[in-house]
Amino acid sequence: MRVTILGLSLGLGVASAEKPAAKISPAAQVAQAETRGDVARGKTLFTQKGCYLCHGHFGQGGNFDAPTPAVAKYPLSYEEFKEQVRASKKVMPAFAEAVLSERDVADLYAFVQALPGKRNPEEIPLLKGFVHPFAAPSATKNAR
Amino acid sequence: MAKKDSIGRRNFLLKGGATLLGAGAALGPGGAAQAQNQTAQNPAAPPAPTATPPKGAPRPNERVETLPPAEDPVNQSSGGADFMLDVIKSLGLEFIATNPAASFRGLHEAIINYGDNKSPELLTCTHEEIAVAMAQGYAKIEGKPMGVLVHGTVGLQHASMAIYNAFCDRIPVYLMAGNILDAEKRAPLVEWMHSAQDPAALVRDFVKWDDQPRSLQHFAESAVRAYKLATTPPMAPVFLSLDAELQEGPIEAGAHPRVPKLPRTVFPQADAGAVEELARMLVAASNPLLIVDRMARTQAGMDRLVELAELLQCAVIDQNGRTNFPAPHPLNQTFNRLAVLEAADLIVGIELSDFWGATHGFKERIVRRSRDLFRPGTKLVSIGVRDLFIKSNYQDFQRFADVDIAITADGEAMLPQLIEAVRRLVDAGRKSAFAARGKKLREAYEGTRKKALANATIGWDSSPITLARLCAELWNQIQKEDWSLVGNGIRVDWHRRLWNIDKIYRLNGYSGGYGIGYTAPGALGAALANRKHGRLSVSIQGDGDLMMAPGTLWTAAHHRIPILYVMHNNRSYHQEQMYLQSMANRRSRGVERSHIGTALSDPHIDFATVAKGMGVYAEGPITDPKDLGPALKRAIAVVKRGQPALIDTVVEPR
Repeated sequence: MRVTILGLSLGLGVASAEKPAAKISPAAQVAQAETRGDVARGKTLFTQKGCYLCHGHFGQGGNFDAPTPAVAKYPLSYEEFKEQVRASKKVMPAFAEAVLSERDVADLYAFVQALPGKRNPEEIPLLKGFVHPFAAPSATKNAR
Repeated sequence: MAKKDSIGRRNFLLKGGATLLGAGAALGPGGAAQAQNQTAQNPAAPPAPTATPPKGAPRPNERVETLPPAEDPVNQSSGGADFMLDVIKSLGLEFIATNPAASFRGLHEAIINYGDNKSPELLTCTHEEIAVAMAQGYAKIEGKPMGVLVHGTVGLQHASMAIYNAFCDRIPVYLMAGNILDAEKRAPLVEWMHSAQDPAALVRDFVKWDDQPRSLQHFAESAVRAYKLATTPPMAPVFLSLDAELQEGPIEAGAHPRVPKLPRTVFPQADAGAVEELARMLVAASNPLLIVDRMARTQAGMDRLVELAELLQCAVIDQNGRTNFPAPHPLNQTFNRLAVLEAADLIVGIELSDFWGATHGFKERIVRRSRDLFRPGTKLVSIGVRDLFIKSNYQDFQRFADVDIAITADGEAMLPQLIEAVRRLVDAGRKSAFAARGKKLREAYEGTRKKALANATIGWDSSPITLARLCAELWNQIQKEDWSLVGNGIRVDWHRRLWNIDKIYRLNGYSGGYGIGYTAPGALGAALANRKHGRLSVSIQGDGDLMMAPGTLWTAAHHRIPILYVMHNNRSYHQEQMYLQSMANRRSRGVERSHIGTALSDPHIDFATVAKGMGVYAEGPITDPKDLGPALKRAIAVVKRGQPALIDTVVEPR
């Protein structure tokens, strides 16, 4: 299942990442995940159903014909998530109940909400240099 | 030449002393100046000859057959291919990539002996597709064509996909193939199978021009014409079919073939009125947007686009068919595409391969639908040369661009005129408005980059290695070098989001026709061009792509071409797997079997072993991100010693 959960924004329209739906609090997300889904089973499904192929094993997002959104801890309610999975308005393939049960969707939701998600780039030495793009001139500015 | 002269019993006649040929010609002061000027106008053009010999006078390097005809001669004192090589040398080709074949053995022998295998030097390739892709990658870096020699029929069939790529990429490739025209002269069996009445028919849909010369003079004129056409925008591959008899046979007594001049070409300029009109529109617009694709051929082109964008403080989307616009740059809105398209009231597309696609959304579902990504009333203007040359059969011309003004001119050549026209119209009031616009764009740029950086952290220490981590590790190793990313796996764009892309050679575009098998050899051709400039060439190499042309690695080792291949090894034809999943979901059949026919596993391909077997330094497979940096460092040390290297990294699919 290419739980392109949040809608690959192929062509038509912005990735959902750019127009997030109604936000819910992190605490509410965790509560929902805990009550509705099995994180471990969701993890298995995330690979088995092919979600990782578009969104990465860690929910970091990727590319299909256009950028596919990062889904780790993505701020969607369970109902919004399910809507994306079943009938995305974007280009994400629809996962019908015949191939992804209600329980599967709940477990997947639990898994993506349980993923570690983003960190502060400044805490990662290799990324620190990218944080202020206009701070330093190119090392090879006068190469040619 | 000395070698031939030393064969005493051959009555070999060489008329004339000094050569008038372009490559190696001693230019007088005027000639040197002309050559310099020519290079500024058209970097693909070699220096022009400086003088024309008087009518009837001996021609330089002229050779004619002087041995009396014999019933069954076993030696000859001249060869048509020697003259052909003189012509080829006049074009300034540095290299000819080839896979050896009998139909051009006459020219092959002339290149290595008469020409001493210098300018052009032969490159041995294990597949014709490699040869053509190398020429494509080379031309984008060097700004001039590489020659390619292929066998008639079967060799050209091998080459054809790569020729199509170069055509879609609007890149000049100088193609030659052997053929045996005279049926009476063909040996039985194979030579018949490898001859054709019209060999170019196979590729005529995607070359700019072709010919099959019947005499040496005909060859000379067609060879120069082909070069001129290939390097005049819109640039594209050209093809010459070389008769084997013409190559191998002696030059008839009394024949006086001569090498024509290659003229200095002035590229198509825009109508002055159209430039003025566009300048007025740009200055008056609230949110003008420039979209560029295959525009910048030279550093000047890139610099001028920056000058225009900064003058207007307008948004730029770089589709990166060429490296047109730097990153990071506050006006670079490539990754804020939808927002700037929605905001635009004037969109100017410069040398776009697909104007419609750049400005429309397309939803690939059961019912395919599209929509404008710009507001009603937005003015659309195209600048480019694509309308000057179009073919009907293959549909690379894309959907019709429904623009308000189509300016037929070379994008890079037009920029100086446009900049001056805009500059004349900008007053203090507009400057102030532009500054406000630029400030907003800078904020948008910083926001987009911040979001990308945050996403880059997800899965940072995990295995498989994320592509963000791969690109950050690679940048860490190359950022202090004069680097050039000569190849890029499909849809890997972290480098465009994060790296400092400040020169035209930092990125080298794409295949053009999306024909898989381009990246490895295309990157190698570009690395060959970079070699003399001392640049560090790096390619992010797809696994499926390399498996199309793995012999590329042997050519890299054989010709000591320094390049670092970093495998984007996702063990799959991944894009196809995603499409297959899409089909399976549409039919509610589940996606569990989508690996069938798409996965490159069972067994996993050990690319390090493959590379080592071809004489290339290699490490991997690397699965732990902590191992990546040190491995890259070791490999780059090898590359800096002038050798190719490969690091096999097992990474996330996309």
